[in-house]
Amino acid sequence: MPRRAALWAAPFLLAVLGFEVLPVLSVLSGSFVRGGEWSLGNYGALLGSRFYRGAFGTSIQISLLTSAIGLGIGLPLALALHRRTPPVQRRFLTLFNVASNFVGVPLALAFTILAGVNGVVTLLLVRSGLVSDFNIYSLQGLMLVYAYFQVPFAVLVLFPSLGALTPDLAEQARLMGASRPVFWWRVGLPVLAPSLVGSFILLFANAMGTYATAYALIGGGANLVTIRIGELVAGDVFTDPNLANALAVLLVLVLLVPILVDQLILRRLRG
Amino acid sequence: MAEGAGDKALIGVVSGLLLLPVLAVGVSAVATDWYSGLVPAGVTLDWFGRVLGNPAFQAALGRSMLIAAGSVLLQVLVTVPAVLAAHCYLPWLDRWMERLVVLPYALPQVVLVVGLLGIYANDPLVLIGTPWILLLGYLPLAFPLLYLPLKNNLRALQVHELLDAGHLVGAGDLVIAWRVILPCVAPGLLVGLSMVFALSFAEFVFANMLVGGSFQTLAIYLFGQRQKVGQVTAVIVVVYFAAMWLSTVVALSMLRRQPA
Repeated sequence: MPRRAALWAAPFLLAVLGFEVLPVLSVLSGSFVRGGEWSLGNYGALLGSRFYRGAFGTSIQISLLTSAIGLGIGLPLALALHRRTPPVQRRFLTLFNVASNFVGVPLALAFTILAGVNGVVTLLLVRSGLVSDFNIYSLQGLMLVYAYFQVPFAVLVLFPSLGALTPDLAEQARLMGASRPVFWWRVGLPVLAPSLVGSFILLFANAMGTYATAYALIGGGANLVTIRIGELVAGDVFTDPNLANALAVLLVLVLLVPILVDQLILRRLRG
Repeated sequence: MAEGAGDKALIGVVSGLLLLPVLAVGVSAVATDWYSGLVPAGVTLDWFGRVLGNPAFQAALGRSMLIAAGSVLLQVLVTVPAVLAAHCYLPWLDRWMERLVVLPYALPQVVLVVGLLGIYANDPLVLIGTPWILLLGYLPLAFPLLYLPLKNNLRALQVHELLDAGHLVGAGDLVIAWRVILPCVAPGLLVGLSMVFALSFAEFVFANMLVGGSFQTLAIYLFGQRQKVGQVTAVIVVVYFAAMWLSTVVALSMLRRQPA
């Protein structure tokens, strides 16, 4: 039986091999080729370039900030939702699921309509005198758009882990004389810590890998790693596939290291 | 009770903010003119008529529908048998599939684009510039969307006992899979497939960088219209949502027709 089962799985394995494994290997091997020869030149060129270091700086900064915003709003929101009845929870989780999948070109265009030059939000902000000028086509604007999908995404990944915070946990702490801040500091946060770390890593990767939303909103003007990669393989000005390969490898390293550290080391330490 | 009120306020405010862009798109799609005021000058369905009547839009919509339907079919033929085989007989593959689920976070689409361009742009196998690269490329990309709900349903099933019972009455694995296991996991399967449909219908990065103008999908068409007036893009985004909403509704209605 197992042999015939392997036959049923074979087309899937071939598809994963051809369209996921081989492309990754191609990126990896291509990153070590410069001018037709094996070399570390691509990496040297990237690490020596202020432009590409700047792209990593901007991408990492915007991803860390919007992940922090996502968790900062998402955690209280998830806790608030956790205290409501299951039908209410289901309704709002559906809404958050839709919102966290509302990304890419449609999201960028929706924000253009809402907060572009003639958008209602822009007009309201400027007319009310709160700001003199609001530009959605900037890094601040991009962060606002990222926050739009990061907050609901944070709720979705955090929510299942809140089951560990049972009502009698809080009740016992209260009976032992713990105030609310003390309860959160000594019990609540330590219980949630593993899933907070895991969620932050997912949010960070979610933001670092975003391409379509930023491309549709700002285009090549945004100095993000994903935008630079796209430009190097499909740009109008010049292309350098092997430099794109090396840039892609560096991006994957930035994403993979936290994921692996979390999965292999931290999970094991926690038992 | 102050806490309950605080909870409600927080959930309400954030949900309201999340609905704002959706609302803006909806209002803009039926607005005569929305340039100077806080509310549109008037309401009209002209924009819908203009966009929906445009042959370029219709062709792009058709292509996206085709890709999405093909993608669903491919998952049914390729991924579903593999997930079932792994769950029943191949624990090593099952463990690997669980790991594949995190891959979209570690491998951004733009990275896969670079790799796919490196392999399928030249001989012996040229797929770049053809819709085939989308159909095949979406298979691993959409896999987690199908795997998670399907696997959830499979876990709740005593698969090995079902197989043993079936064998006892002389049924082969295929018959058991078709008549017993698949009907039991239909909810997860249909939810997963509707998500595969939505992803393949709306995907932009692969479509734009691997195929582009030679097979213009709705996402690329929408991107090309981004400099046009807001109403035009708003109508296209509304169609986008309608198609994805429809795929969910179809999946749910098929569920209801299933004998319990």
